[in-house]
Amino acid sequence: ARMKRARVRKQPCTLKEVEVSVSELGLGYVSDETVLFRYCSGTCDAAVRNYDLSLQSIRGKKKIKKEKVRARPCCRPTEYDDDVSFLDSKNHYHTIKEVSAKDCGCI
Amino acid sequence: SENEVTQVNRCLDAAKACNVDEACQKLRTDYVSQCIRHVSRTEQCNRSKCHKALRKFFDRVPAEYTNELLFCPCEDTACAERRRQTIVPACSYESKEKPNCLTPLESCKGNNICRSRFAEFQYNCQPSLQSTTGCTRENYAACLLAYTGIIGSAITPNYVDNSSSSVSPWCTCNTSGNRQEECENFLHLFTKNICLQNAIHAFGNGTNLNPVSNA
Repeated sequence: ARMKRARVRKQPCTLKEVEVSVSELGLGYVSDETVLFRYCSGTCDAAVRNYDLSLQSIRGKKKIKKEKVRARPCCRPTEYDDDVSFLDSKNHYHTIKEVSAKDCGCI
Repeated sequence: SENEVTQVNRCLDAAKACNVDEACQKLRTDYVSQCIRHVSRTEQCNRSKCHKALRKFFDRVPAEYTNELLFCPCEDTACAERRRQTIVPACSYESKEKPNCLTPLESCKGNNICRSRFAEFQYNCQPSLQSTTGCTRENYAACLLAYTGIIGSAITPNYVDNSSSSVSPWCTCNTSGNRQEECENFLHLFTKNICLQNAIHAFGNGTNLNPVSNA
């Protein structure tokens, strides 16, 4: 029963959004302005390719040992949002690029 | 209590409202990017591109966002400085020398867009001492819209400092010679305009129909 409930909560990879202050982005800018931060979240279980299965199998047979390999697709931005401008606490404007996701995919 | 310390900054709220709206955020970023872009060592920015992007912003973004950014009421300098910075004045407004007001006025009259926008501003913000609103047209919204319509033109107005809500284009009427009156007639449309002042004030306190009483 516990497994089932956990699986229900796992959503496939989608774009989500949260309102954050510019300072909270952690990029070194100090500003109380609020921006919309869009990010990719969710699982990629449905997007497993033959590549991933093969890689897992070959790794299991110790044919690939020391390298770091990822045998599962990953939910990541496939496209980034437009630039974002804001006024900082010292009254200077800034424009930042590629700070927010526009589209997500299992890659 | 904590609530008393927390200051309301409606200009900051206005920026938030714009940032979470896709169209407003995009067009704001467009003009900010144009207006802060350094072009060369001698020229701080490309003013004509900055002006064009500002016109696009005020033309396409609904007044519910642009008015809040531009006419937000302030009780402290942090808020009023943010309000003054709305149009990126270092690029769009200020220059080394303050010209005589007749210079930007002439250049406005030589430009079709500016000429018609200025005519709308004169019409919709025409002051009247007889009217209770201070406006001949009795329509604050039309006056504010006409004011935003001339941002990005040769006569771009802005707040003169971060401690008042006085507005003016970047010019003076010193050295007007025999055209002193003509110059002042123009400048006072901004600096001594009871209709415009009432419209901005009324927007701030939400009393869009009742004018400020001059007690």
